[in-house]
Amino acid sequence: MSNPLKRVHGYLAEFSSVKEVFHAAEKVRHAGFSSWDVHTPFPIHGMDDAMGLPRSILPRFVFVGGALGLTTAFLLEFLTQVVIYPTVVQAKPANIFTIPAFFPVMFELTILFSAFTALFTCLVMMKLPRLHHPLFNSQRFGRFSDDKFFICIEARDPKFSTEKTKSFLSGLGADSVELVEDEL
Amino acid sequence: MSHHVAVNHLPPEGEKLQITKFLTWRIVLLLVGIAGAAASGFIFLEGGEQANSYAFSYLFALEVFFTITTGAVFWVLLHNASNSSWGVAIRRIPEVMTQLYLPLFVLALPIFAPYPLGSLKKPEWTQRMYEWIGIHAQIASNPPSGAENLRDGLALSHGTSLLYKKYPYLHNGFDLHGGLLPGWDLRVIIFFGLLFFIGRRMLNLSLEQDRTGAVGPTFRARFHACWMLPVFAVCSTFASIDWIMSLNYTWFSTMFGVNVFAGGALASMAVIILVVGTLVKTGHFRHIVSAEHFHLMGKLMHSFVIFWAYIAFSQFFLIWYANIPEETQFYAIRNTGGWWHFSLALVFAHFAIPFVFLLKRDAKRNLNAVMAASLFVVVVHMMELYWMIIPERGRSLYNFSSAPDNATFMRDVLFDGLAFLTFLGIYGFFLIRGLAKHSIYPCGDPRLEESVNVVS
Repeated sequence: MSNPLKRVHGYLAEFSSVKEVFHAAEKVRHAGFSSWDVHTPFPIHGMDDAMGLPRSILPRFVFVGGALGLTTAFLLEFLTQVVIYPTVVQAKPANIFTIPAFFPVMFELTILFSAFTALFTCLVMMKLPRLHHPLFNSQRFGRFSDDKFFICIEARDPKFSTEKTKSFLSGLGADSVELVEDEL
Repeated sequence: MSHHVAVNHLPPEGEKLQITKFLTWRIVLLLVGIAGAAASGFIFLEGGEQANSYAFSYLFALEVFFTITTGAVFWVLLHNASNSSWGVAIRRIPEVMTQLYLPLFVLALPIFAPYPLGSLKKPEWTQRMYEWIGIHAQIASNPPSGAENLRDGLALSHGTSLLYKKYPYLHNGFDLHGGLLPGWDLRVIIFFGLLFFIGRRMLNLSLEQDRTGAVGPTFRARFHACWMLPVFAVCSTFASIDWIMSLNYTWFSTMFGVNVFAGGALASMAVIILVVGTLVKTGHFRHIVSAEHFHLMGKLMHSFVIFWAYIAFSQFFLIWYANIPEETQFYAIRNTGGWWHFSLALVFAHFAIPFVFLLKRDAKRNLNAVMAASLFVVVVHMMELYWMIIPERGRSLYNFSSAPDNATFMRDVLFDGLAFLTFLGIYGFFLIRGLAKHSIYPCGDPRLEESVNVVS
């Protein structure tokens, strides 16, 4: 029982070379679109600049995660080994100067917390995992992981227009421009 | 990315150093160097207690510049062996730095050459500094009865069984007499010679490419760099064992060579950044070096801050935990008295501060920020070598105290400064002279265009 209503997701333009999609991305940026993306089989150097993407805020989260890991490890060890149950090993002091023994764990937890923060913040920022994406309704789009390059301008972009965006994308040298619809 | 520089827009003969902008520097450095060398020569010729003390200052200054030069060899070799293209634009700077082994070798002679000349005996300050050489000399001149050679003498004398055991490595001489390996003073020549040969070969290949623009030298440099890297590793490791670790022949650490190398490569990258930065600020490298290059070099410097911390801490950690007296003695004299603050400062200055500062992307891309960080890194590398070498002076000369009295302490600190300025003047003069000889970037390298337009 499929819903007969559909919502326009956006226009999907197909390109067949890196050069075309790169320059097309620059022109889309100059046209002032904000909700759009480029889909390519491999990373293209300089594409971030061509698209005018700002720097990711992910490093800030990773820094906080790492600092948290460092603090956690220190407190975990200091509280258990010095404050609650002072453990004397090989005549080593049971005070702050036994900190070299804590460094390996502090190092490990810094790495662990940084890595987890990086991975999970990344997933949250990409809104993953998700079960479906409207772009997969397009038959052509499957080749984004093979040999084709795509630019999708989404309908939620304030500059989106049913006719103008289509002709704009065709003007960029796209092999084809397709209206992608989302089933409600 | 928006300003792609095509290589045919660059002058084919490369870019020369605008020497007029560095004339004052060159003269000042040369004068400082000559004055320092004269003062050093005076102190050494005078001999006595002052020369014994000054030898430590001299070794410290020598090691600062030797490790930086050795680090430059490493960066050239790594660049070629890893087939990288990003650093072509800045590769000439470390290539020129590797040529500075020659002045360093001449400057090193007061410590390593026999004195008085022709006697084949090490000078008194070397015998006091490297105590095992002193003991060898003593036993050689006054052998115990029944000893046919020096090694027998070490076996028969009281308290020298360790030197008997270590004789295959720790011995002097230009033949193998009794040892399995070339003697300490022959190794001085081997290390300087091989490292200089490696640097020379790499520079010559690069200069050949400057003239012809052929692709061949790139492949040959890659081929040679691969076998040169292990040779380099052996030379740099055993050089630090011979010249720093054997200051106390009873102490040993298998990580010591890597520790010195890590600091040297780090400081060397910092010096490369400082030189490239200075050249950029004085109007060189237009369209050649961009913020991307500083970003990449800054990342390497950052990674070596971490690598140094990893090595230095591992060495300390294992010795601290195992708590064996013959190993802990190294840290025992550095963790007590005034040196304790020095050790603690090293932890923060050599690791924590540059690590946090260089984390930020802007700190690596902003020319002033990355140059300030580089200067800081060079200073802390000096601090580390000071911390490695100078405490041995108190152990060898002053019966384990830092100095017998305040006047001696002040004199020794002045000596350290004097030796450093001597080396700085001469090294700086020859560096400017070397940079002025050739194009300041490898203008014939086919990958120059790729390097100029690199995106970090």
